[in-house]
Amino acid sequence: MKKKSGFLTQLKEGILDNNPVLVQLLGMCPILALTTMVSNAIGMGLAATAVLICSNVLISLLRKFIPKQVRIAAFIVIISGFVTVIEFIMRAYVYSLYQSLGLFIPLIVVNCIILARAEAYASKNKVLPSAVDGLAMGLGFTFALFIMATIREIIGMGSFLGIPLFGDFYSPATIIISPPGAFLTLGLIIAVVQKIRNNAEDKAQIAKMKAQAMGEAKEEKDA
Amino acid sequence: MKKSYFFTALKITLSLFLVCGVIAGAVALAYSVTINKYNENVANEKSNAIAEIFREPGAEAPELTLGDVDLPENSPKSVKEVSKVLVDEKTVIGYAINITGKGFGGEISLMIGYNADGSIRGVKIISHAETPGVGTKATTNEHLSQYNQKSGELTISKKKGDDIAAVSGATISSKAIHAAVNEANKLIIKVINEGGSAQ
Repeated sequence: MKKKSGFLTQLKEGILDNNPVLVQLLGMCPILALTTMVSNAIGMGLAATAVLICSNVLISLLRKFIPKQVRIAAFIVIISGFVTVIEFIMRAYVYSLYQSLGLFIPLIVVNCIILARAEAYASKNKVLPSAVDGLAMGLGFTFALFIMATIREIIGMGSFLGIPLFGDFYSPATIIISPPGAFLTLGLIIAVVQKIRNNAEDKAQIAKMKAQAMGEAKEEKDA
Repeated sequence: MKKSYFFTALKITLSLFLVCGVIAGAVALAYSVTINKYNENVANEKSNAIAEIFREPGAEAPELTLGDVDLPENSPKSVKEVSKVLVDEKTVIGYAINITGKGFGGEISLMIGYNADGSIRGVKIISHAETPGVGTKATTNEHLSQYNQKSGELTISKKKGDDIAAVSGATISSKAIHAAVNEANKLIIKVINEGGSAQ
């Protein structure tokens, strides 16, 4: 992997091509529960990103030290340690955010994105790529949270980041910010993402087939 | 053969133990660094709520001091704290009770301010986890101000004639708040009767 292009591919991979939420379908619990307000979604996304980067770096550093038989246990201890530290920092310095996220901060521990990246990437790669992977996947998670929260807050509460967008005549469709609305919104977003990905794949395939056909035609001519 | 197995097991255990130990140390360090700031935040939030309740409309928040009051015997567990509210550090102008109710999304923490005669001065929500846009309708000042100046056992429903009008769509949340306020109303009578004991 080349240095600079590697960084960008990893970033693109995390945010778009292999987005942990929209493509890998991981971390469903926070994405359903915490996307009623954009501010909560961003806070959650950044907290998870911080944990992801820290745990990826430490796990990558310790990848030769941790015996493979107890690696999952060690990963969970490391992840929960970082989550607890982040929780302490949040309740000391961003108290209102800490209150609105509530129970979901300790639940970052069982966010499968973090364990998945530890197991699939950080435990097999060097420190720097692991840190970048944590950043990319964390931003991908934040991105998905942001998109979903934007849609739900605008439709369900008629506001964005707490600022009312429409006048009093707009009565918000509260179903969108209730749990069923979370499933509806998520389903539709994933459908759109799949459509885009399929189209891109089809295009690539068609281009490949065209190139092949051209090549064959050329060969025939040459013959 | 047996020996090497023993050593592998020991090595695994020790390395896991070491990881746990280091992480526990780091967490303890983070805790000791941040705990003061956190306690400060919680205390600030409560005293801000009290100041807000005892503020005259249009005036600046008054200079208040809080005095501890011992909880009366057999107080329910939901009661977190009872304080006297003093002006100029000597005149008692009222009381404040911090109590929790069971809402739809978990605990609702309330600060209820009382006048010296035991009627409600104001009700404020300190924290809650109600559904935004649904249960939160019961946490608005508009709804909570219905409690002002009332005392004793209050009734709630959507019909007219009851002391408090419940919020439609937020029945569970408004009932949770209501139950907590009634609980505090019972408590405040005891507190005032025992009055002097805590001074």
